Amino acid sequence: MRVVYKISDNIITSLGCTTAENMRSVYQAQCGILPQNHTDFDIPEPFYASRVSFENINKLPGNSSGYSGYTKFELMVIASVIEAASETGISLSSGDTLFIFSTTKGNVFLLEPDSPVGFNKERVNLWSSANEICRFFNNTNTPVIISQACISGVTAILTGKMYLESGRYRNVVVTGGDMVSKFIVSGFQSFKALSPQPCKPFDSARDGLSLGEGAATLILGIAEENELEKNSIIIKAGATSNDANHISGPSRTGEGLYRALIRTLNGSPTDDIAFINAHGTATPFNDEMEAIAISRAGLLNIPVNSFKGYIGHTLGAAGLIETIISSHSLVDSRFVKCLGFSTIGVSEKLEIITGYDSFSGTECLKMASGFGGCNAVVHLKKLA
Amino acid sequence: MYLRVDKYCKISPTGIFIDGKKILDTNISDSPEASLNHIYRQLNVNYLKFFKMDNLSKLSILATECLLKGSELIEPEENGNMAVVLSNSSSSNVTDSNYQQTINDPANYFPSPSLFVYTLPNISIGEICIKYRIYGENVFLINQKFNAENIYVYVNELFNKTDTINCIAGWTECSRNNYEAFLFLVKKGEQGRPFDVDELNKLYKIN
Repeated sequence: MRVVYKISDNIITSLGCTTAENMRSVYQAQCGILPQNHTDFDIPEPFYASRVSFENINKLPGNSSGYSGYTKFELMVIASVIEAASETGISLSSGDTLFIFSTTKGNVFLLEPDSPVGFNKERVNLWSSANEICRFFNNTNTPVIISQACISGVTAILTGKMYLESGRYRNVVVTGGDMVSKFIVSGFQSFKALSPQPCKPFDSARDGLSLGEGAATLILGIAEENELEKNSIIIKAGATSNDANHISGPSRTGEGLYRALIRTLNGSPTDDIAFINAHGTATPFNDEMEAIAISRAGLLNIPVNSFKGYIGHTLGAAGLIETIISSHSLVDSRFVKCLGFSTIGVSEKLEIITGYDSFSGTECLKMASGFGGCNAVVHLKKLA
Repeated sequence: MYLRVDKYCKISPTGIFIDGKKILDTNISDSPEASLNHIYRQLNVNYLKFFKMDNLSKLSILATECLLKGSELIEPEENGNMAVVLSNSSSSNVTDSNYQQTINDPANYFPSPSLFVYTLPNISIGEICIKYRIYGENVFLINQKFNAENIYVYVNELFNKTDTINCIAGWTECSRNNYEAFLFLVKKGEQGRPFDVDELNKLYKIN
């Protein structure tokens, strides 16, 4: 059977500029969410966020010179793609390689009155930014760009699977990111959705989310399952669904997420699913909604975590970053603790992961939900 | 059984066209907002939430209304297996600029949650799903220009790999002074027009 599998990956967050650095920090329970100097952002209220160090990005091999003519958002994504593709032998300029981008706001900071100079106003368009990144890699295929709020990353992975299964490309580079900007911080503050401390997913004292910035890249290929090496990660299935309820509030019944879970599993057994990596933003409504959806789908016996307590909510990058962390957790057969959690604070009896113990399952589910009532699930499997 | 374009609709300042036939004139001199409100009244949509939406969502609702009107899909118990695949060029740029205006001046700083929520293009999909009780697969794609291939691949794979039985797909673009929707309903069947890249490009260019 032909399957879509992971060839390589990269994560850039406050915790590091490679997947290895991020995984090391995650297993050491490091939190990258720190108080920000809000006056730097020209924002009246203080806030916490997880920020990327561009000094560290520039230290990555192949990035030491720094490239001119790109925004910080673009530089972060370019660095992530370079790092992910290194040592894979994949030609990024090949006609067989498709780029898929995942972002919510891309270069939105160019709208600010004192935005970086030298960029055409057109560059705020997501396609313009994506075209520039493709041009950097000499890739002439028209990129696919997903802008689906906070499920963008998971949707982009499912889109990559679709394109590979359609037989049009040999490799797909799924990449994306988002920056912490005045635009985004003020918007989440206007919703009173930001926590005054590092976020506490699923906890009884949770009081909002922490924003994070980051980029990530997942390079996918398609092959016969029996030709793949042991421990290869395959993208087994996935689905999206809308709550059809409210554009800014999660459904009280978890309708869309429940449907996405059911369609993803499609009646297949769940015995091998070691964990569910939830969206887990740590807003009161989101985490409760996810608990209800998990319960309705009959999955309360599966341990649950969220990675937001390490790196905050990285928006368009979140689905990518968290799927990649989940895939490494699967390969390592080691749980990732739900950092920030101490006492259950949702109405369903979720088993929240509180340590880094080993497990024997070979599969996991990654869930995401976002504004517009959208929900997505991807099902990963580690080959024996 | 083939995939077919069951019905298609175009809305722009030159009018509303369904399956190539003009059903309504729009007033070219009106602002997009005034024009979309005018269309809403002419179509007798009767959905008060419409007036709190941004132009992209208004346009998306009006084009969907044209596609589903007269069929059992317009007031279903639910459209559980209907997918929505929308695309445009400028994402939510107009609303983004409007929102940015509210935070530029620290002395007059009033970020509004009801404006902020529309600074995402997929909110228009959310509005469509709420009004027509749609729970199927959904995605918002950004393309520099109308990209029939991108939509074709996506929709085709949804029908091949998921339980999708019908799909609203196409293009909904709003700029400061202009708007353009080209939506079509894709179904399995024998009726309607062929669903392929050439046909979509042809239908997009003509009315």
